Amino acid sequence: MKLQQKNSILTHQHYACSMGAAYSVSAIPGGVPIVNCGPGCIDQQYATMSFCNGYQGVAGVGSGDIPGTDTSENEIVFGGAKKLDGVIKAALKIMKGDLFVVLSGCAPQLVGDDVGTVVKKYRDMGYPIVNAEVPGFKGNNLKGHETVVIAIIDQFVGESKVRKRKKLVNLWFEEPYFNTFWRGDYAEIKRMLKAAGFDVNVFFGSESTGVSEWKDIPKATFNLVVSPWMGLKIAKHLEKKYNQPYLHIPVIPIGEEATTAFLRKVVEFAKIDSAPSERFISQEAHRYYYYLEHFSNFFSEYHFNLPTSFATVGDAAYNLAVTTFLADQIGLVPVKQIITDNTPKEYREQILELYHHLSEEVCTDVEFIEDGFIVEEEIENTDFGTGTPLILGSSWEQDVAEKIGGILVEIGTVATEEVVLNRSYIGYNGALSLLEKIYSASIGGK
Amino acid sequence: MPKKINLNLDTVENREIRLGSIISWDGKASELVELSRYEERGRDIGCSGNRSSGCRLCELNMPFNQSSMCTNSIAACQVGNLTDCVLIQHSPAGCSARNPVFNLSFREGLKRRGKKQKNINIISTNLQENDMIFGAGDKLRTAVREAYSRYEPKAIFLSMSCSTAIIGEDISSAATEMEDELGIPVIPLHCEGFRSKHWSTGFDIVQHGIVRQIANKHPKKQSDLINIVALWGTDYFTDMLKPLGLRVNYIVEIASYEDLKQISEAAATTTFCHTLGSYMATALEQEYGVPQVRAPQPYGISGTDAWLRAIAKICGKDKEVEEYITSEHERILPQIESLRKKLTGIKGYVLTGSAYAHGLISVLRELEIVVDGSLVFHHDPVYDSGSEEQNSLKTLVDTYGDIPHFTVSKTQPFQLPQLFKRTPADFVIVRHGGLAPDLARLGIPSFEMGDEHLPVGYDGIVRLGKAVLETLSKRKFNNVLRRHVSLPYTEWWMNQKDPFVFANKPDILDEDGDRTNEITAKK
Amino acid sequence: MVYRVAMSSTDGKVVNQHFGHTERFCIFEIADDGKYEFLELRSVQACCHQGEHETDAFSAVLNKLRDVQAVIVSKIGRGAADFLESNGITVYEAPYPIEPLLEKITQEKLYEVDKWQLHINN
Repeated sequence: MKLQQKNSILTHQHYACSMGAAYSVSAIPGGVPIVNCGPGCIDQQYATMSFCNGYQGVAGVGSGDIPGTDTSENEIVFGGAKKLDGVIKAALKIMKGDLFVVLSGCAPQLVGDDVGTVVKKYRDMGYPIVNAEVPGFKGNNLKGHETVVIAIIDQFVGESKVRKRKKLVNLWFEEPYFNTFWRGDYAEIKRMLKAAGFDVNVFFGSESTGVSEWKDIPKATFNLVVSPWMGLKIAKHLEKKYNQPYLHIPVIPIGEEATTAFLRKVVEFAKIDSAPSERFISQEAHRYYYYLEHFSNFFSEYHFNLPTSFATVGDAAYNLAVTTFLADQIGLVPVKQIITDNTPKEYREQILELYHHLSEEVCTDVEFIEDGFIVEEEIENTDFGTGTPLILGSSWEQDVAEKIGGILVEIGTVATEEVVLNRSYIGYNGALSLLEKIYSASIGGK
Repeated sequence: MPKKINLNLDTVENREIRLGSIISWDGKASELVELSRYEERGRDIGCSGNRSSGCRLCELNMPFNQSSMCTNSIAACQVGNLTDCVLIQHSPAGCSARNPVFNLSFREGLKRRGKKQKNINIISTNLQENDMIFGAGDKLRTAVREAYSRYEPKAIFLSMSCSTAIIGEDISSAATEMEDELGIPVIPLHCEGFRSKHWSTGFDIVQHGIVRQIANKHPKKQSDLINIVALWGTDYFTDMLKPLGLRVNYIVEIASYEDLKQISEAAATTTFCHTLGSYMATALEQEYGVPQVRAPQPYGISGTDAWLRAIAKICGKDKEVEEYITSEHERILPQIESLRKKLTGIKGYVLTGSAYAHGLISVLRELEIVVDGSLVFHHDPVYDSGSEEQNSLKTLVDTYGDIPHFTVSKTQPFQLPQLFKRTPADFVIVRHGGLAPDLARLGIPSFEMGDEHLPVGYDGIVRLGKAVLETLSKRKFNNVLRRHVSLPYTEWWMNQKDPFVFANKPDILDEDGDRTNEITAKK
Repeated sequence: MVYRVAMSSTDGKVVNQHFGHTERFCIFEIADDGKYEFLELRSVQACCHQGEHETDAFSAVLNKLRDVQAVIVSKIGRGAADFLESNGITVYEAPYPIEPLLEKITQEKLYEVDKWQLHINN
């Protein structure tokens, strides 16, 4: 049982670098990222996190609109603080926004620029501007996301002694853009928590009111981390800073049973009245099983080579959620699970345990591999039994899927065969969409 | 006269130094032609030194900037797209984040050239913080050996990034060592992102490496072979040159090692864009005596005529080419006429790379589309050949007239509102990411030129005309967008008229203008 | 015999500046036994003013380089090159890394091949 792959060369990588966290800023309504790095860096991250990832596009400040220093030889030799100052000054005048976050990459770090001083000058003048240092050699976009969020909390939200609002909760969930279906997922999870009686700060996306939610962070009664590991660092930071407890739910719920259990757990933790949530659960369950009952006709009678075993390749969040749902609720056999997001070592044991206990009588392993070449080799050597091999992964796996005569369904970075708008694969409705997608692909559709 | 020193280095100096290229300018195209002083630069005189005429091609200095593309990515775009060679990106993983886009182009390119589709294979040394401190020479050598064992490539390329350049990684030595060890060419590319003001230097660096280390040092002449320096474009050139009994050799994207090797054996080198191909063409001429086609690019009727005649001259096909040109004119003119009827008076605008834009504008004007303004991402005042026939901007202005608002600006979408207030357009041709979406939000339909060869040659005029007609209908969607979605710029900026106001009136940033951002902070 | 060469570079690693824009030269000493070493950084007044080249400006730079036999820049205008050469300085256009240039000069004894003049005319 291979637990982990040593950090080494990469090909067909399934993530962007920590500068990709600029898109977390972009995802905040009113957020303006300003990048302090080489001329090509930020556009590259757009390629992996948005364009080649369901062709998500952007709203607000993203893609070509992101202001940047385009660090040149001059800045390497003589220092980049002056150029950064010029870009910030102009950005504050040209870009429409409520929160400006300066993200510094490899070059300024290596030459030792004092970026903090430049940014602080503008913050002292009263501008809502934050400094986050996220060089690519320190980690990928998931790490960058946590760094940027904590920087915003420390430098923008700041100190605060406010009264907590009983039903207000801070949600730390998927990473914007990196998680391909984040927009639909955030909408779905907010819908559910709201129906259960909560007010939710979602911070990113269409359901967020923008910087006012960030300012309200200290007012929340607790932090809700719905993710295997990303967000825990944020929650622990908030525990210290604002005395807020947190609830950690490592498996994003997909399907009625998991989602209902999830809502009940959160309601119980918050100690709020369970009547609204039970009403909601009852309605959703009724609708869910209406569709599942219909689906079961197809599922039991269609006899042309449906998949029986599956592999999942992708970041910890979707990998765990989808593998759990398919193994526990649909009865497909998990035969090869690979997490590609360079999960920090301190979380790997716990995550492995979750795979060991996916469901009754279902125990599987997970490997942490980032090098696509090895991922593809592993898949090629996997025994998928008699059914058509089913791979839930990314576009990088298309060659190996073709080689083994399998079906590929893209569920994460990078996804070039899907156009994603508001589709979600989580919760009650999302589970049904996921089944639709998998089984359309299985019968030969796309 | 100043002396030269020839070092036969494994790299080439950037375009700002070599050609005097600029990335920021505004004025009339004819002005730019004059300031470029192509003929003088071509004779390598540099600054004339005389009192009244000197180097006046100065850039507009802008403190604000939006990011796009770098030389490192260009290296990946070129040699990362070879069918049997491997590129190793010696950098942290972030520099490989554009590879999924190249994968799309690669797979599409393979389809266009009739080859089997497969994923791109680019390796990253995935450098971590430790490597920045202690160096990563060993990791690089491991990566090279791994690349060799995994893919059995015919050649391996090593590309430098901002971080590896700053910490002083020696990819040249690593390349020499590994070449000795493995017995295949290992080519170092000093293409770190900050190397040049503009990404086009990346093409030169790659082409230099290929000519230096892959081109066949003992060439056997293939007198019917024409090198076409191209990207992923559809194969239209084969049909264009077959009537003259000539074959084509596309380089660099989608080529194989053998395709690259035979560049020194060709009868001539040409390209669809001088910005892309001029370094390679000149290098092949200097090192291997492969003549380059000293002619305008093959766009529009006169451009294509001149280009074909120049090729024919080199290959001794002068009689055949005249017959060919006559029959092509007969075939294509009626189609062009019918398109002109539909397009005359429509206003177009081009937003692409330098020489390519000159070609595109030529074709639009051939179709009687009005082009009052255009924008190029950089300007090379001269190309490496110094050949006056290749002065594409001058050819454009001489053949089709001046362009009153010709802008040079390296992919800065914030200038789009001002540019289009100044020169309204019914459609825009774009070739680069990050621009068309802003145009869409302004309500202007655009055509993203994905297939570079679309407007090439006689048939290209017809293809482009049809594409423009299809683009115009996109107006419907863009107007819906314009009614409900806005650009992320302040009202203050949207009310500005001069796209280069920061250069022309630098004090404007200190004027007490829109302070809404400050106000928000006080909430 | 010891020679001095002035190289125009913003970073001390590569010859990367036009003569007219140079504000400081890296001065190197070369001995004819093949050894070379960095002597000092020397500031000058950049003599290119938007195309108007003053002979006075050239003289000012020349005065700062009286002890130097050769000047290496990335590019130089004809007027400036003529001025320096008529005053006995050998001028090179070589936009390359400094170390390989110094290696080439010492290995191929370019100071002999190109006849560097030891004494500058006053």
